[in-house]
Amino acid sequence: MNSDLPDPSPNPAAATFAPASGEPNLANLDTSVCDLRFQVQLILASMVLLLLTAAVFLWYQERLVRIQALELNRASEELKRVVGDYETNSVPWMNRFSTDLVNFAQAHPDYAQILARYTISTNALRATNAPPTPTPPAPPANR
Amino acid sequence: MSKKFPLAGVLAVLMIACLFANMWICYRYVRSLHAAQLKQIEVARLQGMLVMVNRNRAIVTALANDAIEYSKRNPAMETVLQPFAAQLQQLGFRPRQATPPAPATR
Repeated sequence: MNSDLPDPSPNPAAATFAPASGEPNLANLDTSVCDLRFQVQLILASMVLLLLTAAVFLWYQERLVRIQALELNRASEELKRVVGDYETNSVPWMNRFSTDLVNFAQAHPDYAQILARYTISTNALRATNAPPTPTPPAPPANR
Repeated sequence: MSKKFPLAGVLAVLMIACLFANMWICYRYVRSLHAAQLKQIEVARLQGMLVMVNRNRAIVTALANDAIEYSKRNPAMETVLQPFAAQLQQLGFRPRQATPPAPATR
């Protein structure tokens, strides 16, 4: 081997901690450990800070959603009250009223013309928004 | 680690605590969101019903209006309207003033 050539070792750490007089450079090792320790603490502190920030943000969002749910609950109760009141108090007399008018129209054809503008059917005044029941298709005419 | 680096140990414990807190808050957030979504669906359904209620009220109001107009031409309609006087009053129709009896003429 040619001893005049430079050291081919690519490892800089090996170069740094290369024994100058046959023993490891303890001062350099200590500095490196201190640096690593500081970096670990820095990373841990950053993680704690990040998680705390995320927790505060999520808590704030959760509070907003909870308030929104409470408002929706209040609105829902109010709407239920209004619709329930309509179903209980208004629908019966409206049905009776329309039935009476239909009966009156049967006896008075001139009023029947006025009533014909309105399509009154049974349960039409209910507040349900369910789709109308489908009518079965007419059977094919047999020849 | 904790013997030689107490700060790192404390930070690690803090980090784990924050992680659990985050998980708990996240769970609560998802639960609240779900509840709010359910409520929103219910409110939308009730709003649809309210539209129907208002529409039906408008139809009945128009029907009553026509009936009252007709009763001016045909008094027989009064017998139909009479039982619903209170309800029609709630809809904004005034009760018809009773016509004063005609003075007796000699």
